[in-house]
Amino acid sequence: MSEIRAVREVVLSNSQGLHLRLAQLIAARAGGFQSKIVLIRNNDQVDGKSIINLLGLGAAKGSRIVVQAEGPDADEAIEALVNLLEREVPDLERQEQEAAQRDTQRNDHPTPDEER
Amino acid sequence: MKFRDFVVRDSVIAELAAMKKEDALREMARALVDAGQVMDDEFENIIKAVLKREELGSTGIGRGVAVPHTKHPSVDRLVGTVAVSSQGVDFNSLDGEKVQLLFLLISPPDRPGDHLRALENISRQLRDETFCRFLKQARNKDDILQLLDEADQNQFVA
Repeated sequence: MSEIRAVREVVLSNSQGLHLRLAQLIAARAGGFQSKIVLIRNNDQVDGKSIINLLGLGAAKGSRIVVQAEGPDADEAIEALVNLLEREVPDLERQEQEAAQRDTQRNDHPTPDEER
Repeated sequence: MKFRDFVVRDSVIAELAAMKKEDALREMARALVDAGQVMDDEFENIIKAVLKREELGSTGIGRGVAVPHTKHPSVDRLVGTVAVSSQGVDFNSLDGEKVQLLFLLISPPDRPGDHLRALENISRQLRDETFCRFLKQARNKDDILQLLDEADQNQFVA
């Protein structure tokens, strides 16, 4: 079985940084691969499949994170994780902001019933 | 960020009575109200917000630990409390285990960095099995506070 090592750097672009839900998403995605996956920020290197370890990175918006995979499916794993961090997560955040805005607007303009 | 920067000492609960998620959250938030850190008339609102966050996915993160949280405009700084449950609370954790250590965090909406740093501190400390085990075994408030203080002094993390 061939062992491949793949490395990519990403910049966290979502405003909330590496919060709990993102840690859960990363761990779930990473867990789908056989490869050993680590995330590195500055001198901290953590297991990409462990939520608790990922939270320990304390990575805020703008943090540079190196994603490293080692194993038979390392290339696919890196692709999936970079896609998650660079595209899916910003998309999700945008959707949530829009939803929150809609909620606020609803509260700002109460229905006639609520106005009494 | 250290535990002492966000854990409200008077609100720490050594023997959580609740066994269900919502009851546990109510017990903990009530302790923050009693400690004067959360306004009583915001209590229901905060519970609602924390439960709404839980709907997005349980904050039970494994190893018998849960970190329920919300942003809320009624607090002007990050406030948190810690509860220990000897019998465990059913928290729909990812690993299916009941949780024995609960950290409730309420942060101002415009301070995502503080929330992250609190999560970072909690998770770093809990990676240490000794700290985690001692905290779960703590049966009174003073023991919990002492463990948190020792963690703040880096006595657990190498």
